[in-house]
Amino acid sequence: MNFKSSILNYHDYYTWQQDVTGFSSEAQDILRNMTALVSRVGGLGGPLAFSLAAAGVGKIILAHDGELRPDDLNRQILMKHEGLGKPRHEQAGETLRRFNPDLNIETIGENIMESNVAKLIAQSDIVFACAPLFEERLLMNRECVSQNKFFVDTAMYNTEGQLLVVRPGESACLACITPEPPLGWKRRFPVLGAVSAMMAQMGVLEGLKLLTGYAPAHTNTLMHMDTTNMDLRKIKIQRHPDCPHCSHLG
Amino acid sequence: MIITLKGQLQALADQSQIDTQLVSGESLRALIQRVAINISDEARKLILDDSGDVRASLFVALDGEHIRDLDQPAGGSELLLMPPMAGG
Repeated sequence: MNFKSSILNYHDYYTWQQDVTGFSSEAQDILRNMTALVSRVGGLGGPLAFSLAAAGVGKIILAHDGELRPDDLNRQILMKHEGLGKPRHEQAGETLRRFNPDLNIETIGENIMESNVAKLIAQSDIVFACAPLFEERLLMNRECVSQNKFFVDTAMYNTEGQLLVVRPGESACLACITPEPPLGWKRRFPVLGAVSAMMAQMGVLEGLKLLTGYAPAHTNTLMHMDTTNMDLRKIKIQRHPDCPHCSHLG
Repeated sequence: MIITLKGQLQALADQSQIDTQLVSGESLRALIQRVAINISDEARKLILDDSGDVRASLFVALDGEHIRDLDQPAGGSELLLMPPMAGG
């Protein structure tokens, strides 16, 4: 059989996926025409971007500044050992293109900041926040609310993780529950790669629900996972009437 | 009532749950302040600000629902305290 990319049809990759309950070729076509922005491609963003690619999201934008260090390799699975000291965004893009050369992967050697956030989110249908800093996450949340784009915030610490799914104007946003960066958060945090990867997969699933509607997304819910006892909590949350980001949406 | 600590708070307090008796007339805010006195300094700083009030950034949930009004009377089965997390 000839498996050259040039003669394969987009749907050839996703026939098993289209058998999933609630999924369909129509849902697949939606994904094909979507653009996802993934902020940082480390322990969370790497496996998250990989699964978006596997699901057939048409265009994936990867934003990450910085070079690969040895202590990144316990979790950053889009990287490779020979890439130590080299830019991470390039390695992440290369890994995904080798996985499927038909994908449209764009990489940016910058983190999300005030100077690029509006432009990058304008190009995207959905944004996945996987950054290790609250300032970056809140910036993306603010802009997604402003531009009415889906926002999925995945985060972890130690053996725990949390997930927040946002439909701007309809459900609670990140600033509704975390209006400002908290005291005491450190750039270096305890992390098992498997915990990051698990939260990443939960984030992908919620993102696919938002985009295709194959199942209801868990909005107005803060999902918290504790992997020490595998306890998943779904905590009900509500929009904050005085939220600095979304209260003006009524 | 069970006070459940999550995230950084659990790690710094080196405990995941605190079992405490409710005091008549006590608010949730007062309950949190009382519990915070008996944990490590580092953990307490995640709960209380310099004036001793509960930090606005602390995520608080009562029996599975996020709450903002900490001046309501303490009650329920479980109070969850969790500083926000952003690790990737």
